[in-house]
Amino acid sequence: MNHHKKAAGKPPRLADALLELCFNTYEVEEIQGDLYELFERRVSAYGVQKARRLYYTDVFRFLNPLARQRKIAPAYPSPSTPMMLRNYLKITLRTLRHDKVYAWLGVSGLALGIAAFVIIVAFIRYEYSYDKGHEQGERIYRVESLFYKGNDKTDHWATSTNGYGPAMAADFPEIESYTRINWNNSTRVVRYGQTKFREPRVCFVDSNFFTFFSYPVLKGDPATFLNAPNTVVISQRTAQKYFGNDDPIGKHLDISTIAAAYHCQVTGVFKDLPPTSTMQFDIVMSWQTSSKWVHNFWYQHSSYTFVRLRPGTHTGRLEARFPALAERYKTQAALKDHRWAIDLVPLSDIHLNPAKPNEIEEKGSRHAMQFLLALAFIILVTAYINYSNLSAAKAMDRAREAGIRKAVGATRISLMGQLLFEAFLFNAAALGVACVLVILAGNLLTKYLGLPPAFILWNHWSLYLALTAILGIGTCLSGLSPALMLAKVKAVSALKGQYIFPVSGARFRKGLVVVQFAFSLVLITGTLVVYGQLSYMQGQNLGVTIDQVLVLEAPIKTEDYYTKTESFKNELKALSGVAVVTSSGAVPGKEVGKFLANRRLHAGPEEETLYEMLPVDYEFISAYGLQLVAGRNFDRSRPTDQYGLILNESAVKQFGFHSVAAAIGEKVLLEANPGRSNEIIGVIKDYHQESLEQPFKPTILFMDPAFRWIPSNYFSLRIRTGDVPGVLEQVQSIWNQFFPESSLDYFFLDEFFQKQYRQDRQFGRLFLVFSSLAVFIACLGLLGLTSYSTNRRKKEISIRKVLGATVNSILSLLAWDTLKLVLLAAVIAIPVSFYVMGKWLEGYAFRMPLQISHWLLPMGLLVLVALTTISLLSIRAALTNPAKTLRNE
Amino acid sequence: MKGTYLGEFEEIILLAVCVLGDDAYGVSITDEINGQTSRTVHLSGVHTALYRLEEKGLVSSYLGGATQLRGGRRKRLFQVTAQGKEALKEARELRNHFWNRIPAMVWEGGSV
Repeated sequence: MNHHKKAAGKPPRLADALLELCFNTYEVEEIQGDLYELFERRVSAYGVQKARRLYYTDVFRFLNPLARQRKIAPAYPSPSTPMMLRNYLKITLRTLRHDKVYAWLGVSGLALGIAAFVIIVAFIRYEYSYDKGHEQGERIYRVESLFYKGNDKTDHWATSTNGYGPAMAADFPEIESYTRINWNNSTRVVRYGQTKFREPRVCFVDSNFFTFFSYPVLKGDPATFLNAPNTVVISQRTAQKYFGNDDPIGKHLDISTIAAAYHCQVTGVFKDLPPTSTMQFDIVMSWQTSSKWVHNFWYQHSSYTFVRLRPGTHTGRLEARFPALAERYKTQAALKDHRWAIDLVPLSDIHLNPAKPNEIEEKGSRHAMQFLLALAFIILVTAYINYSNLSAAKAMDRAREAGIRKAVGATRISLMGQLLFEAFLFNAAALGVACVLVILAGNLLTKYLGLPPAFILWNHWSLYLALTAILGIGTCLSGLSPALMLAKVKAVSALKGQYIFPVSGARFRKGLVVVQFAFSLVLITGTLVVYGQLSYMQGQNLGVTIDQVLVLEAPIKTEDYYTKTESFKNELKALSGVAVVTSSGAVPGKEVGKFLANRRLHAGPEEETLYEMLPVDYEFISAYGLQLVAGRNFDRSRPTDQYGLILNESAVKQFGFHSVAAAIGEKVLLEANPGRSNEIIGVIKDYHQESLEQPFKPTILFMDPAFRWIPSNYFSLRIRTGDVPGVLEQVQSIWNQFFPESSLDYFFLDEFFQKQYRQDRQFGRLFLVFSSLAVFIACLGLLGLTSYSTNRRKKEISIRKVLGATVNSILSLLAWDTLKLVLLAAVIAIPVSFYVMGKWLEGYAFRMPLQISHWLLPMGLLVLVALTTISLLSIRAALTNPAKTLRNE
Repeated sequence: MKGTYLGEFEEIILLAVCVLGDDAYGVSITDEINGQTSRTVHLSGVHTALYRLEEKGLVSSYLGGATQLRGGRRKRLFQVTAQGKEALKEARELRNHFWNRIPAMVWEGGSV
């Protein structure tokens, strides 16, 4: 019978496995032996197929529970499991003591990897935990507004009008209930006696707000406390801030803006909102408090409307019915020719969705989370590759041990068990160290990276589940390859000292190191690109001067507001330290955020498009150093200039003028101002109103008194002295003269503008931390691999030296081996990082070009680090006296 | 005596072990029984019976040497013990005892 035929005619493995599972080792041998004999006979009698079938039948007969197993003690007893585990433990500790570098590399690399993984995943879990925990929250959706012109979506706002909710509830039976929160001018000055603060989020909410959502209420009855007009509900910390330890219920707060002032009675206190709530507010007034005409107003998209849908509602179908409903309500000219639609966004998706206009919350980024998740796994996998590599290399030194174990009766299974047990010990030790690292890093890193404190939930079961999973999967993955290698060792040749491991193993391990380098390269490139983009954005000319600008927030409503603010500005101008004073609706670093739908004088209503409307005064352009490219600035001496408009270049383009000069003198109809047209008197160069992530937006600078309802929220002071505290003191005393009931709140514009890059900076720092970590782990891996390979090549090196090789030639020989790996890694990493970072940059309207240095630099760095890492080992190897290594031959 | 009671199948196996001498193991015993009687027995049944006999002390066993056949697996070879021989003898005597007591007429008469 030739070899080929024999292989084809083997009994079924599955059946054998079944037998091995059900019978003890001593029985299996004889039973299988008998079955094989029958099988061989049947093959020649009936052919392979039938023999295999009969084999199965016979095996099943043996599995019959009535067929009794042999109870007689086997001829050679095997040691009990605990005894073997004790032996494994002893051998593991000996191996570690024998090679401390190996132990240190293995444990620290793994621990770092696991710690990094746990921290990132905990952070991702935190980001995904926003707005969870509301009762029946999975049925809550935010109504976002969409506008279509023809089939083109022109706008997508997070907000809706006050009218959407009631109209939808009346017409759509699928809507179980709705609630609204109005963010319009929500920064208000709140005063109780002499205590006054400018509070950033003071909103109007529907009376059912606290029953619709499950925010815990501490005082008052959530079902009724917002029913009456002029009632307010505040958070616990706000109560503490204004009333100390007194009971706030029944006390009154004065709540004012430029436009309105309310005197409200406190009727309830709610628990401070968790940081994982997208909506953050401390003070909410009842809906009835606001002016009656806005209660169900179908314009001003400045509220969030939330609806709770009945179970089983198809959101798409509901959304599709909205435009027809809207047709009945949109009575005014603005956006009339647009189709008004809605998007129902599940509550818990809001935080990670891309930011939309009019959104008030600090957004997370689903993109960034996916990115981070990938990073977490890359780091963890790298750490495991590293360990697996090390232990596989180490296992090769242990062929003799495996041979002896086999000779005295160890089976493949028990050998694998031993290696897996070692892997388990290693993983458990690493996990312990990792937990310590997580605790340490959890405290230090949260500060450095600006992460929310306590985002790691030590008391949450999921963390322990994850750790157990890591331990289990990690043990199997990292222990399996050395275990399989040793299990295959042939006892006889291992004992002769001639056992040679298959070469494919070596290639595999090299491959693993290449992958690590590739990961590291991608990460370093990523760090470079993120920081490059950040410094690019900060280094670009903004087109607007933001240094030496002090910005005051506007005072609240008083008698004769405009006369008072004008005189206030004049007094400020008179100060010696102040060069220019201007008031405006927004300052650079803040989205203008006020839109009007405008068209050219002779254009039809269907050509209306949205423009950001920035209320300014005569000094705005000079104060901010904006560059006029056509026409002129507003001029006090020309009374008609107060109806004039100054466009930016983007607005000129959107109106469709073929040049900036052509726009001058043209007339424009502003939304809701049909009686009169406004003349374009100037065009300014596009400047960066917002961070460079945002494109230039069509913006109109204007001061038309008919639009005073778009408030001028800021006074900007250009300062020309180093004595800022002195100026501030003077400003404060003038302020107190004019606006004693308002708090004075100010900021410096350059700092304010830089705040927009906070998230990018955090992202960069995150990248920096984890790429250095990955590089460190990869270096540990390289060190492990090199220590192994130089060890293996000791004899070769000695022979080369005997034959006349110099230390230098041997060093370069070893270095070249490492360099090859780095180069190969670069081949893999460059296209990957090119694609990934290109995608990331696409999120920025203004982005730096990717340059070759973004890859050359990391490669140079990696080569340097790699050569430094191996130099210690290779120099030692090259300097060793050949006699030492060769004397055993 | 319950312990030494020999079932009919056990008796046949025990006899087969005796017949086969030094080469009594699972397959050869099965072959022997299948060849000499008109019944079909399965390997698993034979193994079970052999183990039971071994527990009763009627046979003893040892592992033979490995060969290239049988996937390199060793045979468990069985031998009848003195106790086993005794049991066989007893069984045979019991039968003989009964045979001898059958009146010739009953046997030869054909019908009663």
